[in-house]
Amino acid sequence: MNIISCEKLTKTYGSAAAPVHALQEVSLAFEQGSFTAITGKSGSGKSTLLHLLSGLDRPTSGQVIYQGKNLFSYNDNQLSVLRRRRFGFVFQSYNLVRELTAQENILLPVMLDGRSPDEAHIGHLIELLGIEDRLSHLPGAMSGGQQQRVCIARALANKPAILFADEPTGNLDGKTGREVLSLMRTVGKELGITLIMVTHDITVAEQAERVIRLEDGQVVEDSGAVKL
Amino acid sequence: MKRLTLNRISAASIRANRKTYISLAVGIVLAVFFATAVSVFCYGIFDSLQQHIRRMVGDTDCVIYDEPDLTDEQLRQSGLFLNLGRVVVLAAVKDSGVCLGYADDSGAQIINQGCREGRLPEKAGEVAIEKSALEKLRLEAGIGDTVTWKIQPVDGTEIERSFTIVGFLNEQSGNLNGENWYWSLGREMRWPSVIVSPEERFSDGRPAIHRVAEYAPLVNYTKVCEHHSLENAVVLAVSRAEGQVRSEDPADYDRSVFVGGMGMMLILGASLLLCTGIGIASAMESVLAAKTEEIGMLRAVGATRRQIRRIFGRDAWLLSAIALPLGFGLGLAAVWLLCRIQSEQMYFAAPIWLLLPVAVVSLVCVFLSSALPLWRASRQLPMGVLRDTAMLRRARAFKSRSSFPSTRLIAGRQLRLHPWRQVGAMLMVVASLLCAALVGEIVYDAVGELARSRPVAFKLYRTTYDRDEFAGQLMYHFADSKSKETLSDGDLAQLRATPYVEEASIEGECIVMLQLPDAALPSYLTGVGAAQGADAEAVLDAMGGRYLLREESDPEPSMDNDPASLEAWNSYAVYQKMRAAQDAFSLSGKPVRIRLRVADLENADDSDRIAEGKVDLAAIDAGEQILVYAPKLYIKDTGDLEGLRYVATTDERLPGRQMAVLENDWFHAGMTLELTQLLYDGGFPGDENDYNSYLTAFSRMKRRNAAPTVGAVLTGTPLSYPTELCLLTTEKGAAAMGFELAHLNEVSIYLTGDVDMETERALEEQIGRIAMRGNMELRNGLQWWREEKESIRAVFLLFGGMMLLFFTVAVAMQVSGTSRRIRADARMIGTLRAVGADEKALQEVYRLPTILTTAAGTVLAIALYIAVALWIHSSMVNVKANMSVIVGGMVVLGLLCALCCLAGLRVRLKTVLDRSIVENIRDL
Repeated sequence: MNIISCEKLTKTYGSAAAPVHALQEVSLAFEQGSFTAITGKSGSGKSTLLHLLSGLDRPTSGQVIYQGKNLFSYNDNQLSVLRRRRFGFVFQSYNLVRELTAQENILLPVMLDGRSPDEAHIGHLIELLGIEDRLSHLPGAMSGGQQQRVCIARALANKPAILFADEPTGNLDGKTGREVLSLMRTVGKELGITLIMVTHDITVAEQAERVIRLEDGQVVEDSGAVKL
Repeated sequence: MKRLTLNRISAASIRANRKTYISLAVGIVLAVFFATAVSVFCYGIFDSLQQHIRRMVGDTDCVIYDEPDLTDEQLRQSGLFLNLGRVVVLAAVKDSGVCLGYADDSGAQIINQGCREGRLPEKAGEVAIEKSALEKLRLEAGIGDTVTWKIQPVDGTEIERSFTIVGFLNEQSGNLNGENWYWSLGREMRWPSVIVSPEERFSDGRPAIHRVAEYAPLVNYTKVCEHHSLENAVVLAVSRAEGQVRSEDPADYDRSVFVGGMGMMLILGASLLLCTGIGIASAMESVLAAKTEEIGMLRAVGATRRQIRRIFGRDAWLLSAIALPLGFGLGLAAVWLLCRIQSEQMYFAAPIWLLLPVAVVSLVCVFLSSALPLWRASRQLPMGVLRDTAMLRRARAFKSRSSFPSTRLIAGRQLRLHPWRQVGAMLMVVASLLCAALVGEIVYDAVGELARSRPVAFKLYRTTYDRDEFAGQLMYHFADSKSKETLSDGDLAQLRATPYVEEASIEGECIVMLQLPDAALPSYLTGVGAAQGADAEAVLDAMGGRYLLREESDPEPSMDNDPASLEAWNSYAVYQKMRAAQDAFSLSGKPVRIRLRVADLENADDSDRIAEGKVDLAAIDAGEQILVYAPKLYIKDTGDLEGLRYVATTDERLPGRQMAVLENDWFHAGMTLELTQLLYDGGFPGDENDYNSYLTAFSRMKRRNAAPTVGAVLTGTPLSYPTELCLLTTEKGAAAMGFELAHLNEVSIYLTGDVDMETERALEEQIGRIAMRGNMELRNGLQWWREEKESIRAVFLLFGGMMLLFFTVAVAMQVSGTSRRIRADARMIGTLRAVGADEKALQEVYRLPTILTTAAGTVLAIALYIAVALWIHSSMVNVKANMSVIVGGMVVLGLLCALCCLAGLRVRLKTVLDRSIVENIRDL
């Protein structure tokens, strides 16, 4: 069953005189609980695709269908609610709020939603990610790997339906990268989360169930295309 | 290819970050504007005052009156004076107090003698005269006319002379006349208001020679008085703040006026500079905060601290180069505009020697304001900047929470990390609210005053006093004589008959005897109790005193020279007069002298001072009733070496040791007062303190009796009459009781309706001439009314403008500060949006600092205002009413400020939210 799909998704940057087509009429569908890796060279449009799928950016044309409804027909507040309840996002550059401690960063989506955190779930995540001793630290006082783990914990704190990850291992050394990826897979499996990850690392992509390769904003290879 | 210089880098940086630098530029413009405006304004006021004083008294520092034994040589050799001149009084016009004389060249130069019309006399038979003197002589004459006067030379024989008027002098004699301070100078030695030629000679008599002098450096009035050659001389100092002679060293008073006035302006200027300085520092801090990574990168690639300071400091200097002329121009334009509005109070002058230091001070202010953030930025280590270790250090105290209101926590943490970021904006809120409070005070008071008082078109004040009447009062204690140098009944009738004059209301006084019951003398009137000591009598001389307690069998006191013996002797002397009066008029009770004041009770708002009874104007006008002002009196020790005491109607805020409190224990509404007025007409008893001499004198005096009932007893602190016991009635009331108004102090003239300017001028001239006859000064109430309104408008505009400016700057600083933070926080905003924060949540992050800043500024401003208001208006009764209204206004303005800031924040945040999250995060 498809959880999210996109139709003729196009994103163009720059002026009308010198347009840059980051994405050109891409249509894809993702099954619930699947693990998909989107690969491609730098500038191929993979991050743009991820941003559009997760509603972080608006397309020039085309639509993203989530649970039967176009994501961009939601207003900003509805999209915000969707992002904090149903989506999780792991950024390449972590993007933690520097005034908040690791624990507070993890709890941020829950608190923004005005709910009480599922302490068992959060505790499990923290244990799984091995950041128990870093909870009271500010992001500036943590290493890149630790910040990325906090970022993953934050993305998973609300038990999202889909976890979007933009080069989550890009800033990490090989060993840490592998650990982080393994963690994401483990947690994803446990919670039945759909994992859509952007990477240019072939070895990382190989661990995915489905690999989509982009080139010049178009899908040139899809190892497990599903019907729209 | 152009060479890359630091200036070009800075210029490019300013161009690229136009919006960021606008607040910095505004700060610099404001700093220069305030420094220029305040300095030029102060200079204009100071110089205008000095010129005004010069017209009144020239450069005179002190006057030595009629010391024929002292030679000019002696005075010069004393080393006390830089310049010395003579003003010679030759004679007086008989029975007028108008004196004739001349000044030598040095004297004329020192007093700045000059004519407003015509010229000074050049030969015998010519005179130049002050217009007020002409009026006192009740003459209508112009230049070229001949006048004939009976002349009384000083210590000489009366003669008649004719003179040709050749000029009208500037009015100076009233300012330099020493008679009000030393009665011994005599009417014939008054400062000459008629200038004759030095060639003028009279048959006999001697010239009275007054000396005018300018002090040598480091000399003051005290030094002059203490000099052995002048120990017994009559010397008066000239107050440069008042333009009048004074009998004590005016240096402190002048300084206090100068320091008070100029100090207030300088404090205001310094506060403004401080505010703008903080604004500049705050803007600079934000500019540098936004460039933290750039600074770290530059430090990492080898830029030295000095280079960092030069690169980023140059921005401020380049902005200064643009902002300085703008600030200068605006400051000068503002003062010029103010001078146009207030042309009579000040004029516009901006000498280069004043502007240069202002420029330097402004530059120093800009430099200091930008130097601190620059110094701090350049002190950081490269990785320290990149990792923001300073922030980590400050954040050590943060406790991690497992449950929190996310946006408020972020806002709170930001405030704790950057507590000084909001100070500039907060100070601007304080400044704008304080200006608003000032505007409120001005408007509240002005509206109150304008609404309260019935407009007095013209008011006549008495300026000099007839020494004979006081001498007589001292001599007879219970008797009074009608002042000669005052408006006559004919003058008053002429005033009342003047076209457009509806009413001429009189304020004056006379002395009456109040008969007390023989037994049980009220302590309030005797003023002496066992615990109060003899000193009280000296203070309450006018009310009563020790003589009342004296018995006939008490021995005659000795005439020793110590204060106690003098007191005893005085009370013995008054006792003798009392006995003489009792016997002359067969009085059964003991009399006290009491002042009967004639006042405009219809227009006086005394309702809140009525202790008992009620004011029935009809009964007062009919002479059936009278009012008694009987305040609670506090007798205080001033604590000086001479052991002087003073009386006040309030206790709380006056310094000094309280010695006694006198409370009304006798006057009550409904009681009948036995009053007698004794009027003498010149001549003193042959033998002072001799019972028989007084008995004869009192028997010959005119005597008027009345027995009105007390309509109401007033108490509290009056605004319109002195703080002593007195009886109050109206002009009609006094006439109905048969009392003669011996001393006329004020005449208030009300007109039938509005008059045009031409009529007003004609009336002013006509009434002014009548005023001069009675040594009275005329105040044009209509002009005052207009000037007051103009002045209120100008002050309202000035402070209202400043308030608006501060308000705008406060809002702009907050909004631009928040904008800068929003811009710097774009990535955080993107992150928060990515994890599900909606617009409301994001607003909350920035709303809290804005609200807290405005609230803190409002609270601080209100606290400052209340403190200052209580301090300044400590003696004002209605201060609480003012304060509650003004504090309310300040709160409303604070709320308005917060709302404006929040609206600005909303607009700014909207522009960020219109961008996609990806754009926020990547700061595209």
